[in-house]
Amino acid sequence: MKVYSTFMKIVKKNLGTIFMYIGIFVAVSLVSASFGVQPSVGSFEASKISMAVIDRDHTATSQGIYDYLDQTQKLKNLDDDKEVFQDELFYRNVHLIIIIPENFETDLTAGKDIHLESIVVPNSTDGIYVKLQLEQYLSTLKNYLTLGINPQEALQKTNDLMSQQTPVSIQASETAVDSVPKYYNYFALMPYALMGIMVSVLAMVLLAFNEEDLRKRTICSSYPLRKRNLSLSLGSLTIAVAVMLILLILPLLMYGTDMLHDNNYIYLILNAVVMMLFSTSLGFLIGLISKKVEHVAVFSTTFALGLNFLGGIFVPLSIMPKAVINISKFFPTYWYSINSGILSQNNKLIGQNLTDVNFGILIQLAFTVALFGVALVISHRRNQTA
Amino acid sequence: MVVKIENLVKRYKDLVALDHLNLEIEEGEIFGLLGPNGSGKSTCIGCLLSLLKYDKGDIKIFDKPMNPSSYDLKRRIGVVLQNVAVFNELTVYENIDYFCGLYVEDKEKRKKYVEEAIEFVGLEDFKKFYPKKLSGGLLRRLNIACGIAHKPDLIILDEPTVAVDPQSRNKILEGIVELNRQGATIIYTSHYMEEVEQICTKIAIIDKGKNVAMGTKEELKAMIKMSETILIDVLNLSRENIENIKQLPHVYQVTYEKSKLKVICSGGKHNLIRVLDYLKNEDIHFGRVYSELPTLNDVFLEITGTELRD
Repeated sequence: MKVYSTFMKIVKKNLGTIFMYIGIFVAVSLVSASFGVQPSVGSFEASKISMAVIDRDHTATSQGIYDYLDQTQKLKNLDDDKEVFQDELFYRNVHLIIIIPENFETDLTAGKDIHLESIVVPNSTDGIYVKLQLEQYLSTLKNYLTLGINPQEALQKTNDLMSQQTPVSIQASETAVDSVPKYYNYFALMPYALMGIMVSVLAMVLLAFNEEDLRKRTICSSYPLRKRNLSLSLGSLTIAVAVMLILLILPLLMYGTDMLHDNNYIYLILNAVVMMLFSTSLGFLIGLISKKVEHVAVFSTTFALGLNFLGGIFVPLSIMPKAVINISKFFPTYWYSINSGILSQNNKLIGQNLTDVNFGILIQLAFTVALFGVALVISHRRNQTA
Repeated sequence: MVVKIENLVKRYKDLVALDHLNLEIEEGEIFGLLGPNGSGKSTCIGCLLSLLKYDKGDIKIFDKPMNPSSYDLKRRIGVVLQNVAVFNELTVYENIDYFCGLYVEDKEKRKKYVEEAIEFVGLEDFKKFYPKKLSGGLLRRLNIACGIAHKPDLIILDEPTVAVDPQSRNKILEGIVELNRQGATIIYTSHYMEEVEQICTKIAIIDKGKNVAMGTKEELKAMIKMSETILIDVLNLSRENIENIKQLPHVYQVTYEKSKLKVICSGGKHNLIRVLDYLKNEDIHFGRVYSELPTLNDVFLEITGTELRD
């Protein structure tokens, strides 16, 4: 067990790196969770645009329109100056400016046909919907006023009428969730921590053991080569289990024990464990092919960041171009992301969702086996040509 | 017989690194493998330790065939390779403990062996130092301690004094002799002829993968014509004097350049006295007198036609 105990001794001297990665990961997942992740299905919210209203009439009616738009859009106060308008539109601080002219209330009460002046960003379609809404609002208000209702009451009735919204219902499965618990975020980002730790630490330790002269020196000894390789594999597995346990206990401390009652908890763990196995294989392979510490840094950055970015861990797959997604399918992180997505959008796995998650896990396992096989072949060939 | 190598052939594509090499090393010897860089010394060690596959030949250690899985044989061998092979992440003590642990499982026994190895190479004050904090000489000593801590019967040292300061070199050479005194058979490779001459009881001169000469240093020197070189500072020497010196017994080559008379003798005794008597009788005044016995470099030069340090 000398090789195993020395392996652990060297790992102990790399504990700083392990905790650094865990620290970064926890911080990133906390920040990410604070923004809140909402499911992509199950809820609807009307969009708002940034706009301004210039009131030159200063009457109860003009104020009523201002208040209505303030409730339905994001209003910004601007000076009544043409240059200010141009600047604000140019910098896209506002996308639409509505000007309520003088004598607006008087003309409206008199039944005149009034169109509010509007300025929009050139070639922009933003604000079309707002202008339609506003025309509808003015038409309704005008009708009330021409009926002889005083402006204040007419405004109230118009507001009541306009506040009636068409209910929007989203058709989703029975298992779809309304909101995603924060720990899903934590699990979604976990491949970053797993790869960061396993590639950096494992590769660094294996690099020490596989250093040409040290390897030769060990082969010269009476310590059987098979026993040495077994000890290194056992050491790698020990690190993998320890890191996995830490990463599974942390969310319990951060987000409470609710997740233990989550129907998907076992699948979240299974998905993470398979990704850990892949990360261990990746670290093992990089430890074999690296000749210098600098190589490990290059490989860990290239593989860990590359796989996480392209696999949809850092960037949602939904915003990736189709061509990139086609490439991503050749990375296990893609299947991890797909599984994370399915798990976060369903509070219980049944039917096709269950099949898809199992398929994703199997694909990740296949990647792991393939990578480990490559590592074994390289190791075997190298020992033969020692 | 501790080591027996018969007809060993090792090729690297078209290059023949070992060409039907034969070696026999007896128990208790300090066996020197001497040869210039690239002569095949390290390849020979690589084959001996089963680090390299060879094309032809037989290797026996302690009368048993040596192969990669001969762990019972490997247990009796200590190895100090040319390049320092230690973990930068481990201290001096931890490194020696690791390498000793590859052979000795018993913890108590290992602890004792490690302490003894540290004391043997004089690294008592550096036990907790990391290799990066050690000088080149101390690093070499650590490398040796890692190779000998398990008390092997056969110790193979491949150029252990490369890039080492004179103080550490002496310490290392003294250590090797001491290990031999304690019962270990030593194989020592080097291209430093002075070191080999100083400590080895038997020497094999290797050139282009072949064993060109083998024996004790005296036997090797006896193989060549030259036995003594006499150098004398003389101001005036005529052609006739030079011819007369050439006629002296055992003298086979005389040169006179820049007031320096060089007389090379082959065998015989009292050559220097005879040359000095001649000069005295001829009333020729002379200054400083040197007499040099042949070195292994002379042996190598005469056998191969090239300098050992080429």
